[in-house]
Amino acid sequence: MAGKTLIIGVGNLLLKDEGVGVHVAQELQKKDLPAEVEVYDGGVAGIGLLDFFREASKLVLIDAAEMNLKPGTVVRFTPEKVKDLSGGGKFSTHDVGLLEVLELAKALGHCPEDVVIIGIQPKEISWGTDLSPEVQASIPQVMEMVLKEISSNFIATEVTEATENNKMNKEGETSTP
Amino acid sequence: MKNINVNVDHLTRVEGHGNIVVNVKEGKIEECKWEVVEAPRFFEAFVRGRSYLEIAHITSRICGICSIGHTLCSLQATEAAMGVKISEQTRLLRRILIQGENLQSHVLHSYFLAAPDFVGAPSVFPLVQTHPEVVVRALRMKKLANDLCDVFGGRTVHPITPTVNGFTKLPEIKDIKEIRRRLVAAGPDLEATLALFKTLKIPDFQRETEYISLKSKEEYALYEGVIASTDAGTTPVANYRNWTNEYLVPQSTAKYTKHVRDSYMVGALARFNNNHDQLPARAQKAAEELGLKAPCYNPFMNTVVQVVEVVHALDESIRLIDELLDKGLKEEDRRILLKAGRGVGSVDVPRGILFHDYTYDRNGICVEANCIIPTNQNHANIQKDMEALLPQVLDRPQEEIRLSLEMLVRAYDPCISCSTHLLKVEFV
Repeated sequence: MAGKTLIIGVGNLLLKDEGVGVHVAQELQKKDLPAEVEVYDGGVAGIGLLDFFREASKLVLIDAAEMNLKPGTVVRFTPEKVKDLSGGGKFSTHDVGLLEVLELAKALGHCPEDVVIIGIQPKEISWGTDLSPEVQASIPQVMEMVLKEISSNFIATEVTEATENNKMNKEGETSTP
Repeated sequence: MKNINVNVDHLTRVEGHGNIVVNVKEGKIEECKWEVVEAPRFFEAFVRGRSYLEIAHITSRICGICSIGHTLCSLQATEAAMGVKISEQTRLLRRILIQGENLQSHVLHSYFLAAPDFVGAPSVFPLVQTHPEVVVRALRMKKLANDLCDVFGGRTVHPITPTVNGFTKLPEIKDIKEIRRRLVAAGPDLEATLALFKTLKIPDFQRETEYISLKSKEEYALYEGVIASTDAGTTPVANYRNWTNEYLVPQSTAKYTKHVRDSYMVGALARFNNNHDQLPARAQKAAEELGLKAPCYNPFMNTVVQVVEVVHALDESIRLIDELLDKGLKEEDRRILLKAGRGVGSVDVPRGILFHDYTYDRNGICVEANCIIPTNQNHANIQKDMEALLPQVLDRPQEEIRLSLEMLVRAYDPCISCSTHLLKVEFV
């Protein structure tokens, strides 16, 4: 029996592409998702996210990530697969980045077993509320990847389609074996 | 005579980025600088052309920690511009929210960002192993504060329900009662917090400066009041520009401020120095136990005042909640008459006094805006403190000097960017 799946989009909406995670979270909140899935606009909550981590069995984090790739490139990875270059084990709540909050959660035994990060390579991090065209164009792909994470967790093969068309019976989405 | 070279790039455990540069040649101080390297913000660009209903939501995104303070300050400015007088109920709910934010922010700073220094740990991580009960307690208190903000603001961060002239959704009475129960139950955590901070050794350093905060006839001011200075009495918030006097310095992309002296301090210590006699009994007692006496000229004590304000935030939220439950909650008419004009709002947020200033046209569209955040008001004072502290610690080993200066900056709980937290990763 799967527990709660938590999808958190983080970032600062006022820093153009930095806010892509929040843009995605806000899109996802409009969709009709399985009851066991919760979407949260994490904004720049930093360590405040810890409380949410504790409640989930699976965590999908969406954030802008500097990966030295082409702007708009979307990469799915797990925390173990990366070296954190933002803080290097130091601690400040914004600079933390997610990886440090995850590390702290793990140390405290609050971290879900299954953590997936969907990173989007930003083009522009400067004051402004619009996404760059490249990052904007990547959103459908990010959405698809997130929905795939949900469906793999709930073994609900029709989720993507069902959520696009919310006329479908909610029971039907989650219980499809 | 010794040479010292301290160069701290991107000071850790500070929100954002700041550098410390110290250069001593043969015992002579050649350089002692607090550099702020964050890009300037373009506050006005975000809000100009936006409707009066959107602006508080936009400004709440400036910071993940002071998002309630920015929201409330923004609403105040808009209401002042439109000549709106809010109801007692709205005022009460907002005063609870600002206490919630003070609790959130101070627990975070005192436990996670400042305390490691006092126990000689590089960060909170080793504390998870050595003092797990401390970390767990801190998180429990943080969660309580988050939930308090959730009940009254609709979200734990970037509040959603506060709006011009009221709230889009009122809190549920059952949720208010439950959070009240938990606030009361937090007593033992509060005692343990006081016991912990009593054991911390605060560096002995004094430098008197001007202290600026809000002041209210009614209470220890956070949500509203007039601007008060330990040097110059009081002035209405609309007069903030004459008291902040923003100016540019070569070493920083942030604007500095000054008033009567070369610099002034804002934040918990400034509030305490201006308003200590308005703290209720339990917070007074906490101050006494922690060795805090007004006037206090030791900037390192800012963290200690934050702990006192944690006590105050808990007690005050309970008191305000009781007042609210007593009066009962009702839906109110939030409609307002749009009119052109300018308004200034000011809230004493966790890090100090904050100002928002908007001008609207007759359709409620913002045509001009200004915002002065607390941290910018502290930069000049941090610089002056560093210049005074360095000669006093010059005979110590370089590492100790570096740590002293870092601790000094962190004591101000500065928020230098309120913005970036981009993941920077390399795949292994």
